Amino acid sequence: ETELVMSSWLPPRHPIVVGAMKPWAKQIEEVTEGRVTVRILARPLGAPPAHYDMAAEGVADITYGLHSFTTDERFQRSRIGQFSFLGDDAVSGSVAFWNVYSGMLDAQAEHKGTKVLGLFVHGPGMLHNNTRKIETKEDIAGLKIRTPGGYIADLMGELGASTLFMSSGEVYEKLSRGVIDGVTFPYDAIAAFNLGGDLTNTTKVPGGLYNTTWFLVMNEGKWNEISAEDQAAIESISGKAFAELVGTAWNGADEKGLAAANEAGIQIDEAPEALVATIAELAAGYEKAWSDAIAADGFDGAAALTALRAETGVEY
Amino acid sequence: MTESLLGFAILLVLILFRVPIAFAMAAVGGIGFALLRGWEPAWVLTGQVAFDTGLSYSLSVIPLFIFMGNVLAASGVAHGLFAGADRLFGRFRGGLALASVFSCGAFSAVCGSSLATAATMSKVAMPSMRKFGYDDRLATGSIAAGGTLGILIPPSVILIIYGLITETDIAKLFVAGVLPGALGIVLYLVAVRVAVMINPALAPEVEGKEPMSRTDTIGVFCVLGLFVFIMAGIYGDFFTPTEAAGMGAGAAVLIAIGLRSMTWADFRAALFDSIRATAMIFAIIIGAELFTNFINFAGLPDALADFVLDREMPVWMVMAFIMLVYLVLGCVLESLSMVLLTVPVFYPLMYQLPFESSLLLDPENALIWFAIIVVVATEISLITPPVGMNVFILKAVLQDVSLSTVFRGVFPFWIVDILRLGLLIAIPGLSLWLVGLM
Amino acid sequence: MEQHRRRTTGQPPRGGLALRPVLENTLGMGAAAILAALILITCVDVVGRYFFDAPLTGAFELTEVLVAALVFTALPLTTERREHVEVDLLNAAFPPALNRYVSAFAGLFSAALLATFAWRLATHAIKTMGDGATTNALGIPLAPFGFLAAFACLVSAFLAFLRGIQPDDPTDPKPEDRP
Ligand code: NA
Ligand code: NA
Repeated sequence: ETELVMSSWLPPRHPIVVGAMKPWAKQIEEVTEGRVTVRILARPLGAPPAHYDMAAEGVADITYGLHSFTTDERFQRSRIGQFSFLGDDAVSGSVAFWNVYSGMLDAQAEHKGTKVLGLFVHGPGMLHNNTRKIETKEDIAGLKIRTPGGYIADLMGELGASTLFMSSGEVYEKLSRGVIDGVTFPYDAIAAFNLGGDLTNTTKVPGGLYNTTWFLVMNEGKWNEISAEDQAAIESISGKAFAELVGTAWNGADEKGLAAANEAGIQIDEAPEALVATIAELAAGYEKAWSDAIAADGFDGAAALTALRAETGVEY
Repeated sequence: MTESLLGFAILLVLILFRVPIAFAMAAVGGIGFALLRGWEPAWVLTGQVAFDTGLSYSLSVIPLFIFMGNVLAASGVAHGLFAGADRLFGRFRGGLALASVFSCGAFSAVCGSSLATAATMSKVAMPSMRKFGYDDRLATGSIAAGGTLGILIPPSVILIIYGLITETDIAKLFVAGVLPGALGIVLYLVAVRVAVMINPALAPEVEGKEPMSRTDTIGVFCVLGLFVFIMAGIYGDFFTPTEAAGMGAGAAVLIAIGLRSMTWADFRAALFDSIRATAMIFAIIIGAELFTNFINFAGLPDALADFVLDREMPVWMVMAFIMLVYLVLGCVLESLSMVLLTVPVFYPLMYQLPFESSLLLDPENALIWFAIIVVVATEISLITPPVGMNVFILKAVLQDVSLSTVFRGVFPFWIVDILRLGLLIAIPGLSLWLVGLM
Repeated sequence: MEQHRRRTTGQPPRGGLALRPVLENTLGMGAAAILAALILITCVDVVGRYFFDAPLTGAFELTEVLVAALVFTALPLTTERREHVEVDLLNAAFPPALNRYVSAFAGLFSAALLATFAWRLATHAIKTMGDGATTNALGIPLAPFGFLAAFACLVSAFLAFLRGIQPDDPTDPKPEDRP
């Protein structure tokens, strides 16, 4: 019998913990007939950004987190999941991300020291602000926008916004005190961080303005201790199945966020075609740069992006 | 559960053998984790926790609030508070003791630490009380006890740390501390009056008025102004509670410059005292983080919750048990380490217990209410023998007074503190009413 | 939140260098400057955004790394003054000779622990350097702060070791002070 210890840094009542991590832990026990159990610790063993290394170095057995936590080049190919126009909901987005990143982009090779059990994204990211309706590139110019860094920070910067970084927990305070005019988030954050009262406009683009990519991993040595039969059983509820599970949880969170946005009277608009075209043009440049970077290792980024978008059915 | 309790026992032994609390917690936590999990993971965790704890935006408030208090202590405004309070209470017997308690409460409003409050006010209030023939017990007791208000009345370093552990809104925690803090001042005033009534020899029949200069008057307005500045800044959405520390520190420096009461040497001392205190506090936080990782990995918080919930223990019994733990630990432990060691174990219970009060059904409210209770229990530990940090402060300032004198002096205040703790547990509205108005 | 037992004078340990002024003029001045910088950053950020609509872009990250630098730079000063919180409850119960051993034990224990921290922080910093980890927006490399922390812990370990081999504490309370 094996007990796996999971360090979980999201609050215990976060939709992902309640709707994906805990049910998945239960499923592991079921499919292995109790030979493998997962214990989720009452509080995390370290800061959120430390969680990948914690699994790789055996501090915990299972961890999850964002690839963008590490500001280095380790998860270069994961950035396929950060771009614009990727998917209109978290289930299709997560399944496509899992299929493409773990398939033709060989995610396992980038996750050294761990066994990859899940790869997923949240709902489509959008631009929320408290200043004006965004109709042209000029409307974005001069806005102070909190972004999570990476592609979306570069994109917003090029569109004329000044981008700031702070922890997501700080966003509410900074928004209400006018430090920032807006923020890039999926819908769920409007409810999760209680942002409804401080926002007036939301701007969407087909397939999302951006996304963030997440991993769910197990320490490699620990994985190897598990019998082949149980490994197969665990894999059957992980990967694509987990992408569906966690995507459903994100979708539920997004629904709550949308309800909160409606209740707060936030005006939600699709970006006009001209603006989408502007974004698409800029995005193509970033996509090409990324594609060129991974081409050195023999990966075809452009083909991967096409495959991912074909799976989610996004057209722009 | 056995491993955790064994860990606590070894920790206690090390502490009693004078190993600094921070290092004892780090060692027991690190080795305990290694025995449960393996040495390699424990080594990795040690470096990572030490580094990541230092790298904290939210904890930046610690050096800044400490520096603010130190600058104000050196700027002389504390004497203004004391003399001003004497104008209010001078006509009562025991007036200076009443003034000490009240001015401690006032200084707490601009100082985030109980020890700094007690240290500052003892230098200001003790000389007068001795001059007019106050019994040392009443004189030292009122300051040691009054100083404890520093961590309840905002700003408060302990409330900030509680907020970080439990992910509770710090602005709300600060508001929640206001009424219980005011209640503390009132009860301490009552304690002085009752003590003097029972034993009139504690205070002289007549006493002179504490002289109050123009600078003192300006000082009172500076403290009042700074408190309003911080509160209005936070609740008027001008700056965040984290930024309030930096703004407050900046304003304190301006006040000190304006009053022309601080020398370069004072300023340098305030800076150096603040950085050393910062390192001391962070050492404790890092040590506690490692120890908490160990008991978390050993499963103590879960085991405790299961134990309580499976048996359907009544809420009052659980709360009484938790308070007992605080009072016992408070005998030997210092306030910050006590909060860091216990809160991670107990707080998950707060959103699982079947409270009767409708106010506590919202988990966030329950955590805010528990924060105030923890802080008041911690305040009590500061004046409980044998290790009462505020009492030691008084002792350090007054070399010729024995510790037992101070401990006997705080006894009346200890009694009303227990009373206040009971009231706060029984009536959650005392802590939550102002929060509800936000 | 300062310690209740502190040396009041700045005398050097017997037979040693005058360590305190050296520490204060190097690490101490550095930490003091960082504290001043922290205040300045917040004030410039807040005032800038209200009166000039120009917040300081990297305030969040600058604060983060400066706090880390401050904490570790100040650690040797705290250690040298023995201002880490400790409980001397049993001093009065023990004979003076035993107290010397207890104090020596506490000093050597602290030294060993701080040396371990120095080693682990250095290892962590090397890994951070290998990964090339930086802060999110400003791209400040994190490894140098890890090496600084390791160095400060090593100095602190040395200072704690001095206490271990010179355990006499001039501020030890007398037995009659105990309750
Ligand atoms: Na205070
Ligand atoms: Na105590």
